[in-house]
Amino acid sequence: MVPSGFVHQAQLDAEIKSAVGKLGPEVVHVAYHLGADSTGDPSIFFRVVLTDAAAREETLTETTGRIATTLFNEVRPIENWGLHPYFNFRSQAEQQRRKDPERA
Amino acid sequence: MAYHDDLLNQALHLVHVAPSTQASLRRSVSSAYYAVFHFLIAEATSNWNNVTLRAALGRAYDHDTMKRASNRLLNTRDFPFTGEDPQVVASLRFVALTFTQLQEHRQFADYNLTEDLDPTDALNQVRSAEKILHTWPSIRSYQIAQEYLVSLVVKHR
Repeated sequence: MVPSGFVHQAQLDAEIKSAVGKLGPEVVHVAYHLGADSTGDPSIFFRVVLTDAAAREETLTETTGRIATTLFNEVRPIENWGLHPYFNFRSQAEQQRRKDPERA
Repeated sequence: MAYHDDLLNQALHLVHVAPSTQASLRRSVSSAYYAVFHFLIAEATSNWNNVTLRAALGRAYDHDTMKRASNRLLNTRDFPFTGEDPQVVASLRFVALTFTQLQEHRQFADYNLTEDLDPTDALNQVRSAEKILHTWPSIRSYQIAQEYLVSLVVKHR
């Protein structure tokens, strides 16, 4: 079975852009890619760059939980796309050290 | 102290080692995952009356079945939880989603050296594991939480 996420990527991209627009100012950038997870299941991997203030330990899980919930509820990757979502977070300072173009 | 509490403490210690190393960060994520893995098994097997056999019963659980059960619960069409307390449902979905995140991040931490693990990401995984252990007591008495625990050991057919 071909996951629907691989077939309608333009539509998926539009939905993700719409969802990203609903995130708060603590989000600097959101990138994503499609692929298989460690068990081979079709997945979507979100890579989120946070402001350094939002990445502070005292508020980190609240912030990341809110972002993941928004993306999850807006995109509905499991129900609508057959993709399991994974979320990866990095601070802006970490991004500047890494110079990873995917998250620029 | 329970084994899962020891593992979580180890994860919290490792993620705060300064200066951090890839070894300390990666081991912190791995310990955080196993803290949750063993915590959920302990919660499930605590329903078994014969205390001395709980550890043996826990051997029935495996990572893949637990991941697939967690994924199924996240599907709002298959599991709408109509009529259930929305806060309980949200907490249960948080546990399920975080378990799958931790499992995937554990795979990366233990095996994938193609890129560095970021301190922020490691800290988020460890603190999320801690949040599961803090959240679970508020929902463990609900039937949907107990059904989730049973689903963690039952292969879906």
